[in-house]
Amino acid sequence: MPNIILNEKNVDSPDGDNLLSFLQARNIPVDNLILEFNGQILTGKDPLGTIILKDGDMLNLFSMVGGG
Amino acid sequence: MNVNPYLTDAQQQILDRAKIGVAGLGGLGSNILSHLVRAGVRRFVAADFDVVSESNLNRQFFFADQIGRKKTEALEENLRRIDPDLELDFRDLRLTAENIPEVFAGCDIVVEAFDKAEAKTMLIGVLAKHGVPIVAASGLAGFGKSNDIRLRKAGANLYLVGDLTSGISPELAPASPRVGIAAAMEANTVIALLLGNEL
Repeated sequence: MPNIILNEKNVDSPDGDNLLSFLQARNIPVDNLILEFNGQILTGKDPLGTIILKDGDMLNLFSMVGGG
Repeated sequence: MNVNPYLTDAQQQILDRAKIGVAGLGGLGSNILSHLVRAGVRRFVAADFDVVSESNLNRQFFFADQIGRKKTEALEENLRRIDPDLELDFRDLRLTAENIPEVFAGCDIVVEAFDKAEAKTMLIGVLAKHGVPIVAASGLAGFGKSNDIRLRKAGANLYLVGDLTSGISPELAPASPRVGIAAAMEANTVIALLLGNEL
């Protein structure tokens, strides 16, 4: 069971879990979400369902909200 | 004309050469540009399709006698009143995932200054793959909570200002002080990146 570092906290994810299912399991919508995954910047437009999570992956999430 | 005589020659040379992209000329973009021009940056590419409206005057760097005018034209005029010697490539167009790489090609840093969350996310998604430093903002509506607005770095090239939660809503409007804090922090981050200062 891979251990993921989500926003600097350790969480377990099921074997074979991908980035999209990981977020869905936590009710985190991918709309207007910026992901920093192992130092790479991703959004919901990227194929998150094809990225399989592995032990030690680091994920930080940033919500983009309106206003400017 | 030298609007910022407090710079060293070496610093002015860096700012003279820099080309900064600004996506959106509303509460963030208009104020960011004002800060950057006063700091001594001279070369900009910016885009917005909107015209100045009365509801903009609570926070945007426009004036009552500019209502109805294109933001690109009105802001160009206002910035040249600060420094007549600017190189401005202001485009009256809607930025899209398709045209963003072309519009901001050659920029040293691109500043995200949209109002809609979808547009903010889109710009970051498109430009993060190009490697250009991006300074963006999320979470700046309302009043108070000044200390919640801060700068975060994500990945190698993304700098994110705001509290990440205070989005605009019927209960939470954008207003000059807090939008201004975020705009100033975005501009301050641009200057620090250019000059190699601590962020």
